[in-house]
Amino acid sequence: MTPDSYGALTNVVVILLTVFYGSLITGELLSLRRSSGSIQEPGPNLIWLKLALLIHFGVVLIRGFEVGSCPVGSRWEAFSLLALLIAFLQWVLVATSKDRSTLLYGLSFAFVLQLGSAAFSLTYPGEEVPVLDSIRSLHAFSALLGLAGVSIAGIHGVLWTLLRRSIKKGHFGLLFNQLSSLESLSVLVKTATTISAITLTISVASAFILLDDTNRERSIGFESIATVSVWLIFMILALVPRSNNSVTVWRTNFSLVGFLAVLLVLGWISVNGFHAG
Amino acid sequence: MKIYSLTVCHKVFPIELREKIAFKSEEATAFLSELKDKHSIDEALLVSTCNRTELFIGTDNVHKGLSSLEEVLQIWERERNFKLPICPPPNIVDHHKSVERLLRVTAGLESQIIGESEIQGQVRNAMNHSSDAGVNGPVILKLWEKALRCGKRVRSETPLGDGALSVAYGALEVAKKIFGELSNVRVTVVGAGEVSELVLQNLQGQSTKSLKILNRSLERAEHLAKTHGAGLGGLDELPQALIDSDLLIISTGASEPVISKEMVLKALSKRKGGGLLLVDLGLPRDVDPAVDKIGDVFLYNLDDLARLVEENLKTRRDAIPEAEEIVHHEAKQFANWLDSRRLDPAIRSLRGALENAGLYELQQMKRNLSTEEYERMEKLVRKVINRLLHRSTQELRESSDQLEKNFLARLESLFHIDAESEE
Repeated sequence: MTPDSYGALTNVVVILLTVFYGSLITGELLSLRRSSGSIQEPGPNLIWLKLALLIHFGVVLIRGFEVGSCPVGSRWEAFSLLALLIAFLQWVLVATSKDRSTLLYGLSFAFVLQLGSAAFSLTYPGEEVPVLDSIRSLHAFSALLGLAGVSIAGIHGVLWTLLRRSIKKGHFGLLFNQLSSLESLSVLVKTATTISAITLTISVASAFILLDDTNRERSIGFESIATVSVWLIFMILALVPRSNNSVTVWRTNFSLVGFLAVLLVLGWISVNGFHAG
Repeated sequence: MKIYSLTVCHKVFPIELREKIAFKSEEATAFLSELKDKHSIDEALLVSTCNRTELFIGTDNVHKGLSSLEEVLQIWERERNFKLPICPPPNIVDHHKSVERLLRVTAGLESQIIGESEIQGQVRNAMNHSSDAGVNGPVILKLWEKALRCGKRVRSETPLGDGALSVAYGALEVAKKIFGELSNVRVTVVGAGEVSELVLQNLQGQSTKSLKILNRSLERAEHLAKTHGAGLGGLDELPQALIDSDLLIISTGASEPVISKEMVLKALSKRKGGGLLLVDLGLPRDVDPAVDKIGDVFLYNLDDLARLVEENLKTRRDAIPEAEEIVHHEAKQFANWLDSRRLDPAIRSLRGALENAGLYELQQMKRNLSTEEYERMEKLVRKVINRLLHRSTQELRESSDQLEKNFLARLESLFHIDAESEE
């Protein structure tokens, strides 16, 4: 079947979602400006974020029903699902930690991915893609959720490093004022690391089940190797407890490596498509 | 009604004069009661703090308002035994400026430390004296509400009140950036001199995980420890304090650094917690500058914190135009409310005149109507008048600030109504 039976409607929905994320970022920037950069408590923008997540989830669900499996068969679908999962994880972190100082950055990355999705959707040839069975759907979904966790951990790791540097050097600029604290960011990095370690474990486990009955050459692409490497690193990061500053430095450095790996995987998917497809 | 005010504040008058004018709580109520009895002022608000004494009154008569304030000033001078200088003159300001004045004061724009939040509580409490004295009329009450709302808006929508403005608070701001909440932070203050005392005063009210004072002489530190509920120890406990503390603030007055790089490295090898923040407020410095090279240590000295304070001050200064915009907006809203209030008697009279005319005509037809029909017609007349007037009165209220000066008089003469008697 052709998973683009809605054609123009799909393009419109994907573009609208991009606009929605763009508006959320604008709202967040305006909130930051109004409060001179330090917003830690939830505000009205979070209601809009919940609405965006709900709509995006609805779109993915409808698409899932249309193609009969987890919608990752094409580039635009994979990018859009990843954008949703990153925005969702970022929201989960804000809701649990009550620290929304990093919301802007997580949403910005989700926006970039959704923008990529819109670009792929507009140039999508509408070719046939295979329908995924439930294990493949679980494998693809958990892998993307894992990559979302790695991205969020990476983004927070970068922010932790930058804030630490600005405190160390006594640079009291935008980041010093806007970000909450090293302690809070370190907790967020650890939480995102644990989430990604768990979900990547599910993805890797389901991959082992699939390896028995699939063409191995087709299944093990660059992104598989990169994802397994990230999984190994993040398993270790999740198991090491939060203790002193040096451990956090080490953790944030590796989460940054993981984030770079995600970017490489995304680059690979952009060119070659998702191996699950 | 118009608002007039008398202002004696820190910008113009020295502390010697301000302290003579300042009112204690019970004096404020007595003064406002006297204002009501002797000057027939029914609406007044007195904001009296260490930096200002400002009296706001509401009156219909301009001449009476201004002369009352002048008399008040003379009474103050006589009773409190001081003489205000002729130049600069005491600030008696007119309606528009008075409204803006209270809004600016509450927003912290007129404070000595710009953006400080204490003034908002002081303005809030000032209304208690007004209500105790019975001078809390609707106009001054509305202005007071507007001022508090304005202050709240300025604080939430602009950075006017953000950031620490003292070196000691600056140290706590950096600590919060590292450790999050201060309730997770173990604090040690080394030294018991004036600087340490100031730091401990700033720490008061902040709940820390633990607080300890180390000093060469225990006798001197004992008093400070008791006052601030802190633990006490000698300088020999410093190596252990480096292991057990998250934030260590030091100011000993020693001529050589008290904390060396080796000492910190040794402590770090035994530490279990996160980073260590060392705040060196000593002059000469108490911490070897080489300590800053250690990754897990954040070292701040007086210059670093002064820069932080300067940045915060700049942020506050930059926020002034934005805060002033909010003040203008709120002042305009208050002016609109006051203008619309002026229209009420005329609108009531107009409505009454139309109703009377309608009901008079209905009365003429009464003998041809049954009781039920008459009641229905009466309701209809009122409904028609309401419908006719609703929109136009709403528009009048909304554009009350743009009405011509003699509009009300013309309205009254056109419909032969007497607003004064209605009122």
